[in-house]
Amino acid sequence: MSTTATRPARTSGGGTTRRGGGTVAEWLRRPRPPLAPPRWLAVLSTVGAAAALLVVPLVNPSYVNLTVTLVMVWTIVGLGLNLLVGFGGQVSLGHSAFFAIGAYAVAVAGEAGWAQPAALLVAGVVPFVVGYAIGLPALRLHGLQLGLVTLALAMATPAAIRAFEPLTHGSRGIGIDGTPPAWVPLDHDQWVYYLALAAASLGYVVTRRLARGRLGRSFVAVRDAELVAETLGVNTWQTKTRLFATSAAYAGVAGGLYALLLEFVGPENFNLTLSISFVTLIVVGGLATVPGAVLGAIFVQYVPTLTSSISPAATGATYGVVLILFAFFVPHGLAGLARAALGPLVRRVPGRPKA
Amino acid sequence: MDALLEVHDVHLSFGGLQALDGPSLTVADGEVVGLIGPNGAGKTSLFNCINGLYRPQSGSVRVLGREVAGLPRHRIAGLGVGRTFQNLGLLASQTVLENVLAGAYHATRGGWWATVLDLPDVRRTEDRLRARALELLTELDLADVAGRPVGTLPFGTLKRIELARALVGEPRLLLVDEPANGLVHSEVAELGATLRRLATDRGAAILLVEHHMGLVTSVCDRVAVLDFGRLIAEGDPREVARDPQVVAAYLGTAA
Repeated sequence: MSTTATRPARTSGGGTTRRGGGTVAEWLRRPRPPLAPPRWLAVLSTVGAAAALLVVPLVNPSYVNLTVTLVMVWTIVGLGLNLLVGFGGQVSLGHSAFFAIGAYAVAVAGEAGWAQPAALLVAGVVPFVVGYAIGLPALRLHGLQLGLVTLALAMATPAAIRAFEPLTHGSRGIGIDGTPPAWVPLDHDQWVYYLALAAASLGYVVTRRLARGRLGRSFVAVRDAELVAETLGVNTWQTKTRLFATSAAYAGVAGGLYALLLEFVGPENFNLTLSISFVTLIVVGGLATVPGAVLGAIFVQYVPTLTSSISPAATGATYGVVLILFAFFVPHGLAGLARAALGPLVRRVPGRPKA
Repeated sequence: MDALLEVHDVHLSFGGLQALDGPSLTVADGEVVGLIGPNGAGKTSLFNCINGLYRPQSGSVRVLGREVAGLPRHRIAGLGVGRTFQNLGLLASQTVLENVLAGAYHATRGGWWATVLDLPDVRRTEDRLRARALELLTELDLADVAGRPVGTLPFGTLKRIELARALVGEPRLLLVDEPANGLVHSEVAELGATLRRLATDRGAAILLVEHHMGLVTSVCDRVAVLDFGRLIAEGDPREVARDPQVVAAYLGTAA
């Protein structure tokens, strides 16, 4: 990918090399820096988005709230997974397992009578610990091998859930009471929406901080040149393990919210397709971008639903085709396209970019 | 003066190939030592033993009095060992500035919690680091390309970016592998001045692998010559260059 990235710069001077398809393909593949809006615009758009998101569940029917909550659930998964895969360069096809662990943590904690926020905390902590334990040996592997190990994790998840029958009630699944506490004057869908909004906002801020600066550079160094990263002083193994555990915690919290939203968990919810949708999410949204998680989440929530109205079998095919198309033609994903489209506008806005 | 780097009787072999056959070498604070020798003499192998990419079979490598053979690589970097690579070790997807900033990893703090909480100290460190990196880029004539992805730049420029990345971490010991490769004449002179300043002003110890003899004689206090993994001569750059054994190693003995 790096060699093709050099092409635009070399040919940018010569008009003769600019021919139809090549130009479009190159334009799509060109790496672009994140948008750097002036502070007033950044604050304004953040406040605007926050206000809109706070009002949504109050003015919409519950099925709309349900889908928007799901978008936020996928966003949380994507934020964490992109830290691991996009920034850190460590492939995981197994995050449906951590999503499942989080969902079951909420279910089991609910059965034990725990408050929902406390259960959500457990839904983050348990996958973090499990992720760390799995990551310790697994992250000694690279690329394809790591992909295979994590793939096995995803494939084993439904069977593992059935095997732990005393805890998970096997194929019968567990019903969950997602109604808000008595002091909260909200319906179930609104309550879970706000929980998800809080978690997604927190996840977004944390991811942004981790992805930039000293740590973000160390992730990228591990991804681009592991040996060089070590000679720069990066403890690559610790970095990878922490990334893995952190992304597992994100997936776990998302799984917990998913369980509260659907008020039921069963082994069938957590199959391999779920993991594939997570990977599709970050590729379509844009690897190594933070807003990409939101864009990718919107994609995996709405587009397969659209295509399955054409044919029920279309979901898998959609993921496959879209993954290939994006990997080849839009390597920076929807976030990359957004940068391309909005970059020139943002640069024209008056005001000093915030640092 | 205490030696910052002490290499003693280091042996390294790959299967039957003896890459390093017991060379010993010291570099003191503020000293620039040239490491020269024909291709395949073991210069880069010695570098790799010092910063942990290879682990020698026997012998010792001490940095600041601390044995580094067998120490994890990131710990060696943490001792203040900076390095540039012969064939570049830049992060291809990143901009020039990002690459340089990455060089300060071991020299700055800011762990996971501090970063997540965005502590004021983390911000201050980052601001200071950016200022310092831009200063260095200006000094090395790279300010114009700071925002460019490194994948688009010519080899000589990349060598200077690597040097900037090594310098931003303020190394106590700097290993420079063929920095003049790909540079034009005037750039070589500037490079020499930069290295000299680093040693004289900041007291860094520098070990320089270089084929450009002009650069070696102008900046090095001493020169060590490797041939077939053995140290065959050491001393004043000009005298070493006249040593018959060194001449033979470079040009081959008359048949």
